[in-house]
Amino acid sequence: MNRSFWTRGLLYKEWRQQRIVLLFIVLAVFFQPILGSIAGEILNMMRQFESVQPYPALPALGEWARAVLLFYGSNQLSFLPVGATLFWGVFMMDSERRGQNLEALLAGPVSRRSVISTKWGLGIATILLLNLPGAIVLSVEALGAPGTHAIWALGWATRWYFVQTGLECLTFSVGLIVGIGVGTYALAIGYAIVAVWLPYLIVSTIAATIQLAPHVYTSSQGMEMSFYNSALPQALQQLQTILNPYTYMGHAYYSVVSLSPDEVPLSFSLVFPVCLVLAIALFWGAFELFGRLSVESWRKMFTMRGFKLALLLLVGATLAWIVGFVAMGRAENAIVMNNYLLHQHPSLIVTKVWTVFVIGFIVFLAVEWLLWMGIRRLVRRRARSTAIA
Amino acid sequence: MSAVPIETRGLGKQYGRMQAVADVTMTVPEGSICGIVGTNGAGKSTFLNMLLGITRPTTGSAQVLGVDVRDSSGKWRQRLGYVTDQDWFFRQFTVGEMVEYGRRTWKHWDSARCQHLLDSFELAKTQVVRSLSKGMRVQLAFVTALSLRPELFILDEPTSGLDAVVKRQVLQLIVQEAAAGVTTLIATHHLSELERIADRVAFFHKGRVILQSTTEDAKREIRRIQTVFPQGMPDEIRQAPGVLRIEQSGSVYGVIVEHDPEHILALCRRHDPVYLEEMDVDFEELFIHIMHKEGYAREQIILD
Repeated sequence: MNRSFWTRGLLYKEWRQQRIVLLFIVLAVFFQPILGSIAGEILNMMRQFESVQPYPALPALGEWARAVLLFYGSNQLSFLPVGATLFWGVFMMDSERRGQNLEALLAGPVSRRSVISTKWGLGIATILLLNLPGAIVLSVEALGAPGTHAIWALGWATRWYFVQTGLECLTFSVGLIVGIGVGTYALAIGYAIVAVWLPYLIVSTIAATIQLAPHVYTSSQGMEMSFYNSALPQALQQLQTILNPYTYMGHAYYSVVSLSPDEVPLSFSLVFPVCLVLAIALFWGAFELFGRLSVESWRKMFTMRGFKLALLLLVGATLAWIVGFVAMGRAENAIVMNNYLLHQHPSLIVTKVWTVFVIGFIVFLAVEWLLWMGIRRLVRRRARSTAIA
Repeated sequence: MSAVPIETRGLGKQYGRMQAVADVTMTVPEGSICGIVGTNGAGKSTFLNMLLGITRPTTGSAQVLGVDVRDSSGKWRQRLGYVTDQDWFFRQFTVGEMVEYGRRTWKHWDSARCQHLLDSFELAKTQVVRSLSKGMRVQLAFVTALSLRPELFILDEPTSGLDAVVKRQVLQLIVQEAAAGVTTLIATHHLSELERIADRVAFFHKGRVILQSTTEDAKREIRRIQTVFPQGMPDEIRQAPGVLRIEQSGSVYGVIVEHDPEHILALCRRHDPVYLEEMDVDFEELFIHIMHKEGYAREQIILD
């Protein structure tokens, strides 16, 4: 293998440096589907016992499993490996920076690019391997033990593997490229979260804005119609669903358990290739970025000021999104529950919701800004008093 | 190995508006020990980082071991040993793991030499790097740099944090390696140490090389004349051109003169000195003189 791409020394170093983190990744990645499938099995058993004969201990266990494993377990656990791989990517570069190892590394017979490619290669290989046991567990369960009822098809286990692996590869690559440029660990995580959530939030906000805009028109029959008949908000809503990390994270496992293949949208089938292509593109970006810039240059790439702006945008968009969705929910409720009101005065509701959304967004931004300024002033004052003391 | 281990032409580095290093042209011959000295922030470390390929030059060119430092493969650093006082080791590694990393990274790694050096520095393989003192980490850096059997040795403040005994050990190692043909570039503020081992020296100030020569030639920049007069120091000598400073210790006068001291010696002889001798100045004196000429002077700070 090309020594400028991989070196034995770098692989050894990465393995030695990352082994504790790897343990946590194993815990996060390896046990998530297993715990999830245990939850599914227990629920299945519980249902069987409930229908055949009552068993005093199991319903209680089943309730516990339902509460802890399914609702707080399998669904929430599917976030864990994706989040863990994101942080791992950030940590890989951040550990070098904090340890001031980069000069040492680059003073040795290794290329800048091999530093990145070794990290990326190790990360992707680990993700691919660590998800395999989970896929095997799901496959075994899909095939079912003799005489038992298989709760899901084999193809769903494969789908789970590819969706989960693709997402983890992508978030790992996002973490790695962000970790290259960002000065501190906290900052890197902040940027990484922004990178993962921002596209979704932007589309969500646009979708909510269009859906909530006072777009009311008169149909050819002379009826006053609302925006719900428009194709644009629907298309945006589809895009919003596809871009939503939760759609994949939350349902990567959940879809295997509860949805039939017919119900699984096409986007799930595209997740793996799309994520892999994006992951490779991000890796290439990291590869070039680290290869071309000097240590000092890439350290200065992402500044605190830029992060503040990104954070402001993220929090503002999140809050606006929440407001938008709450408002939209209210509007939908109003439409469903109060057809009378809608038909009589549709523009009234929509205008009200729209006003709440816009004002909410502005207020949130203003509050954020004031909080930010206040915290900064407080920190400065404390620093000054410490200096005087 | 190339005939010239280090050769730079018009090398420069600019950070935004700040010119960290400007127009450095330098040649370091094989087997020599070249000292880099300069004021704080003079650009010494940036210059070394450019030679190592860590920092990209913005102007000029540099060839190290016959390879352009912009070569991104890094293979040319197989025969380059680097020691710095900066805390850059993989802190969670043990000494043994550091050695293992070295063994897997450098093709010419000499395990026997490594073990010999570890024993000499009394470093145990089980010790964790973060638990080592600063001096011990520098010793470990020397172990790594010498075990890869370097052709070129780049040292940035290598004796910082070392006790006097280990410092001597380390300086002896540098001289020993130079005798075996290893070229050494050493940046330091410890001028007395440099004076003992270097055969060439380059003075940096504000990113520029203001003087580079052999140490012998550099010391000819200024000379010290040690003399004793029965009637005290004659005014004629005090006011003679070329006299930079006169120091007095009891009846012994030290006259620091610029460049050629012959006319001052002749002047002294005319006043029948009891004792007269021309001497080398030490590097510190030379450094202060050169920096003073560049306008770098600090007044004495007097505290209440």
